[in-house]
Amino acid sequence: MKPTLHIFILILAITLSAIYVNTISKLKVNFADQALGSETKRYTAKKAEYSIHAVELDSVVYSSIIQHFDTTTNTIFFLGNSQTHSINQIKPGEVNYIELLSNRVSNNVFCHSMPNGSLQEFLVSFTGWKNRLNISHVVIPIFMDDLREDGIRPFFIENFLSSGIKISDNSEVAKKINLELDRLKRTVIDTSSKDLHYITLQDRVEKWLIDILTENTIIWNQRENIRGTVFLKLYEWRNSIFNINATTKRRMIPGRYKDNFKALEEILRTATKNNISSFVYIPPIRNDVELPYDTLEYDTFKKEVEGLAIKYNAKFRNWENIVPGILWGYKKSTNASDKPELDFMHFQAAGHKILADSLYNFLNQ
Amino acid sequence: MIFNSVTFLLYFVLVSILYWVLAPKPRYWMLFIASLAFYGFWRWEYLGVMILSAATDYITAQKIYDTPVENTKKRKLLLAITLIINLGLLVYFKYLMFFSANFNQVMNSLGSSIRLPYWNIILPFGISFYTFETISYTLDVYRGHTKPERSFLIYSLFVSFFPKLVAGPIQRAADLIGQLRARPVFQLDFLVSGIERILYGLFLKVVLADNIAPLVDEAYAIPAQQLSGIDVFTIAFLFGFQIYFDFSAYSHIAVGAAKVLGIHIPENFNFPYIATSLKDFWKRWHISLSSWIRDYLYLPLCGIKVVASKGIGGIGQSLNEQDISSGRKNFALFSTWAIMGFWHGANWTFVIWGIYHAIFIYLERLLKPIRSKWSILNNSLICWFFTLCVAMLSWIPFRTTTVHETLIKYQALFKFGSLVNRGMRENTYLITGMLLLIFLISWFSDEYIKVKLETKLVPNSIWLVAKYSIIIILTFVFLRPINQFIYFQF
Repeated sequence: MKPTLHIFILILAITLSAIYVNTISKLKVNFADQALGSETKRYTAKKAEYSIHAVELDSVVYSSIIQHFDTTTNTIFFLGNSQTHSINQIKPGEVNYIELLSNRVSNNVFCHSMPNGSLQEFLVSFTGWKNRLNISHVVIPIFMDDLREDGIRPFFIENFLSSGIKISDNSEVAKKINLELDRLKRTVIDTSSKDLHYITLQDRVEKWLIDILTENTIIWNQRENIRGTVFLKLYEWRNSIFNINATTKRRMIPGRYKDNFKALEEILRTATKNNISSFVYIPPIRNDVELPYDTLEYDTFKKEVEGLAIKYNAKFRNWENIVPGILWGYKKSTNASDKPELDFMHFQAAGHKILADSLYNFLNQ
Repeated sequence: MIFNSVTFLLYFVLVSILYWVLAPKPRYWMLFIASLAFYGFWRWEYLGVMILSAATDYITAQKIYDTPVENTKKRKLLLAITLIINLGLLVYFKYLMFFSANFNQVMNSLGSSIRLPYWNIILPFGISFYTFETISYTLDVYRGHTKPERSFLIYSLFVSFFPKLVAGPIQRAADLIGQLRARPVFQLDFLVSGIERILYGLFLKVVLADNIAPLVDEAYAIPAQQLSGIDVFTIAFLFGFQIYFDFSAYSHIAVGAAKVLGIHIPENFNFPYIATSLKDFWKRWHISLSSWIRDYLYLPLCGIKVVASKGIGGIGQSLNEQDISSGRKNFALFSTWAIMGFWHGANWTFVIWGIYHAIFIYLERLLKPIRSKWSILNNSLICWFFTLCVAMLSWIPFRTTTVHETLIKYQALFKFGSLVNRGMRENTYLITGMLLLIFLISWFSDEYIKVKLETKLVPNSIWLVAKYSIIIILTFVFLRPINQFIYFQF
């Protein structure tokens, strides 16, 4: 091919790319809604207009919470995943179970929930908040799904990372988590605060150039959204090709399962040592259809959670069936089709009321 | 400077424009200063190390050349000086901490209280690459394969030429100096083919390698005891693809950047995972290193006289190969690979990686007579599959940080009861499979479809527009200097 034609092709490709990127950058994609589905909306609990419920935890969120929170009064500390901070088909005035409970109990109530939160993340969260709040009770829902998760995601514990949080235990899982916390502190926190002490000339120049691009171009700022869109499309294609949907059975992953159980054990052990009452429960799951788990694995999981609770004198309840099927909903299709899928995780406000009542009785026993 | 950064792209545009508008003499100076700036953007204080290495060989090579061949003693002394200085720099910056840690460990196990201090030494980027280049230059002059370069500017430019400075391809002096001296004249083709290679490289790095990296990090953070055979296979393949995309990306950008400046740098990769034997693999993977090791280490260790060295893959021109005993060949094979492993990093895991390759190459040689009798053993598909698995599994010690963990991972391959227990998310296996498929498709299209398409103007043009558009869009969206190239650490 002649070089002149080749260069024309390159210029044409650059032009087409610019047009495409410019078009796609104008599309507004809400990734939180994409993850929860269009029927489900995020709701975090408040008391007297002040937040008592954290999800992503950077220093701004942390300061705004701690500023209005009475850290001297006994606090019931709730851990949770997206079930805690989401309400299916929400109507004005409806609230989640954390807020319902906070209006009924005399103690302070505080919650930290993380979507798809692993128990290793729960352990980091519990360790962080234990030193900042006067925790008298800890309430932990154990989702089979979340035992498939691994690792620590920095944005849910950013404030703790910057203060150099450590798990004070010599167990293998504590070592693993501490290594990860060290790595995250170095790569996420120390890098984001590089403005103060840039190491290389490359870092300084790169930051300067990126600042210019960020301030002066819209497309550059939209790159993160476009990246998200690319990953979302890949996820949908994967699900379409391999026929994966919400009802597809998820198998237990032995290594992660074990590490998460060790993390749970660590939470319970720490709670016992610090005279904190522990409450462990199997959370509600949609029960009018076949579960997306292997029955044998799910039964074993429930037995093992109960066994661990008994070992550490924690109170245990199995509430997998307390929210009737009618109170659940659908989520956006997770593949390339438009067909909605069953939502196994998020229920309606009436479900939150049932769970709040159950928790109220449980805590008052 | 990191290739996958806005800084480099801007730098490169400026350097390219200046390069072509300047007259030859100021062009050399500009390129030399630009190369120093490229390195100095990382840490300018380490420029001195590179200049010391370059100056040593510049002086000694000339002295060797000026010394009569009969004066063997002086020539050998000069050669020894250059080797001591270059290898000394390498030992100090790369291996001193390792030796000290090992010495202290041995003393500790012997119950002795003698301890060496802990030195916190920063490894200068590219030191393993430019010391190899300067050593080979002096050795080539010593062997009479090339004449020394009298201009310090041109010689320094050979050492510091920025496209290949930090992670190769390792250049031979005669090749690059000859091109620099030839003063290339601008051709549009340089620009087009250079930009094309840079785009490929950026795509491989920022779209593929950097997005595989978190998966690899996560997989290698899993305690080795929790991994089954299928997991070990998967993480070996996953890292195998990451390092291939990452390193070949660097080489693509290096070749492309040099091409824009009218300089030809030899290829460093040629679809390595399509190799049908390990010997073939090393003609396709990091070609400049394997040919360097062959010409300056393996053949001399075999006692073979090299009569001409060339920086491309395959066996170099050498004499009396037939006269070498198998014992000496095997000694050379294992020594070379142990050193090759150690060159990659100051850790016993890299030595294991080297020895692993030596064992399988030795087995290939040993089984050669048997293979000639059993035609099934020469079936391309079987050979490819076996080589792919062996090559991929060699990455386990390369990425794992301790010998203990490496051995546990290899043990998992033989625990037949739990061979297929999955210890990672389904996505990890799926992505690994997809990467293998993408690799095979790209090889197939390069080998068969591209040739046919090139003869048809319109379909080829449409295909190129579509391909470039996708590459440009994804590279623009994913361009972030979040990860250095893996080979920067070597």
